[in-house]
Amino acid sequence: MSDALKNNLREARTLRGWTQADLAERVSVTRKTINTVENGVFVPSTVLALKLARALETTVEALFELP
Amino acid sequence: MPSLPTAAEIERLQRRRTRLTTMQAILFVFWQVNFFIIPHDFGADRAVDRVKLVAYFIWAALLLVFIVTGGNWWQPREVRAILNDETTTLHRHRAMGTGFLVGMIIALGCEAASLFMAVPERAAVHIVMTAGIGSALFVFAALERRAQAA
Repeated sequence: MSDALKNNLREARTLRGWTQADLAERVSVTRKTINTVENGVFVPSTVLALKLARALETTVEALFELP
Repeated sequence: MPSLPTAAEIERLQRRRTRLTTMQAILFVFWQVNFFIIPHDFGADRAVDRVKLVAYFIWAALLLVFIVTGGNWWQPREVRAILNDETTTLHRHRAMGTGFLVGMIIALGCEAASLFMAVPERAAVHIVMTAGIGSALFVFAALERRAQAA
């Protein structure tokens, strides 16, 4: 998981007024997974990226991009 | 079907698992350090030695199964799936990798030491298992704590 990946997850989440726990509950993961993705510590799998995009009603490309 | 627990409940369960992992790692390693500090006849085959060995075996096996599966066995499958999400699985795999590496380094050390002194096989196995399982638990707990920090 060393490949860098820019993400706009925090912005997309706060835009909806959700906490990390809110988003975690919607995609059935722990809050720490949301936390580590937002901080760029953890690069999510394709499935999780798609789930995040669906929960936030956006596209994966809008959430994640290569630096 | 019972409803899934809230994020707060999941958070509580995973923090408890992290605390228990840390506590078990400390107890497991220091219990075995104690085992080596107190003069011990590794070749002895008394009933008390057998009981200690069986107790150690069960404890080590349970910790090994815990690190492989992620624990929380009494929770419903859906809850276990959330508690063992992608980051947790990654942390467990990293912990197991560290445990394997530490175990192999200690095994190499035992092999090297056996060239100069007698290393009882039971003691060697004990050291390798303690170091391997103990380090895996410590790494898992550390990674989980770091990830949980807001």
